[in-house]
Amino acid sequence: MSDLPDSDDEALMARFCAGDARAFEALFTRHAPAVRRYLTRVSGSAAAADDLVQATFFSVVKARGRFLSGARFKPWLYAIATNAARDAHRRTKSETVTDDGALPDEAVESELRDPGLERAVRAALAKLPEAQREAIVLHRFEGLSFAEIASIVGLTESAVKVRAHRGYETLRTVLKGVWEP
Amino acid sequence: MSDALEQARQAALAELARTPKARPWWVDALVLAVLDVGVGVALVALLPTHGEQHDGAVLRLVTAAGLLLVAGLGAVAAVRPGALPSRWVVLGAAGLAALTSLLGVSGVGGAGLWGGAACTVFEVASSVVPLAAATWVLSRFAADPLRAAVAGLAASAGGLFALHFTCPIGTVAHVGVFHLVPWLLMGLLSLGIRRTVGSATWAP
Repeated sequence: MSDLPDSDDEALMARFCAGDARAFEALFTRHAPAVRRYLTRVSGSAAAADDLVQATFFSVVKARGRFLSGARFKPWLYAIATNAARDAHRRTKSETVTDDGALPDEAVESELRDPGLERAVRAALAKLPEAQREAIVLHRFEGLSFAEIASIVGLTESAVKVRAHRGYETLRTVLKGVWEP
Repeated sequence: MSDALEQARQAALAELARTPKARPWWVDALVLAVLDVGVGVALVALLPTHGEQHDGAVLRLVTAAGLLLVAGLGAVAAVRPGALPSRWVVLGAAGLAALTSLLGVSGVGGAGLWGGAACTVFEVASSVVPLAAATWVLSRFAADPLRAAVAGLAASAGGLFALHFTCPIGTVAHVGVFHLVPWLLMGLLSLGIRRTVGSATWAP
């Protein structure tokens, strides 16, 4: 239907839950690239992110009956992606980092177009604990509010702010004079 | 769209074609709630009951109603999407249910280790099917320790309810050690089982 591209996420999700596969395709087209970018940043590997994107949207389809009517779609989607990334991280038990302690080159294919700056940000993000990295990537790079991040990671908003604040402090120290997060 | 995203899209669409109809979360919640409550009620209906465990019928019925609420609402709370109440609310509710069970016990009877062990075995055995069902339902979405513990407490609340009517021993020590401790341990066991079982999806 021609009105699909203009519908908001929640309207699309409602149609998807009612059996409209085209609504799912519209949601996928709208969010999959950003979810892949997010998963690349938090996992540190484009290959891992590809698997995680598949797991994320597979979960969206399989568990669409758990989407609460009236809830916002984007936090729900990122909660699924975050859960998938955490589980993968637990299973591998190690960060994917280079010998220098940075995330691999493909990890930040970002809007930071300066290669030197990208490398510096990658290295700084890799130094953060997983929880702080999640909070910062979701807030700074994906543009989610602290309230939305709180619903994604299952914490209070103030707890998320503390995590992000600590992460930003570390980034400021590491990236002093190079980049202002 | 990159090859990886196209693959993800195809995999999702294949799953959608396989399961075109969404299963609402409340179906699972209802099944678990009915099972948890039903096990307790069925056991009371089938087994001989005793009135010696408590001094008063009113308190006995209030406690029984509380235990059924734990079984039914606990099952729903464990499965419902969205944020759970805080762990303190869950601990408070479990503590209140335990305290209510202990209040008003008659002090009648006594049991050695074997008498007590029978109650524990009864409670564990009556929890097996509800706990297995809860684990199966919980494994269909992302693991959450609090949900697993709540589901375990709800699953074994039916057995606790049945013991409330069928056990003739009313000492604080017996009810505490052989009824309530196994109940709490089933909550922990559920948590442990959930950790070992994988998740079919990552949905919260």
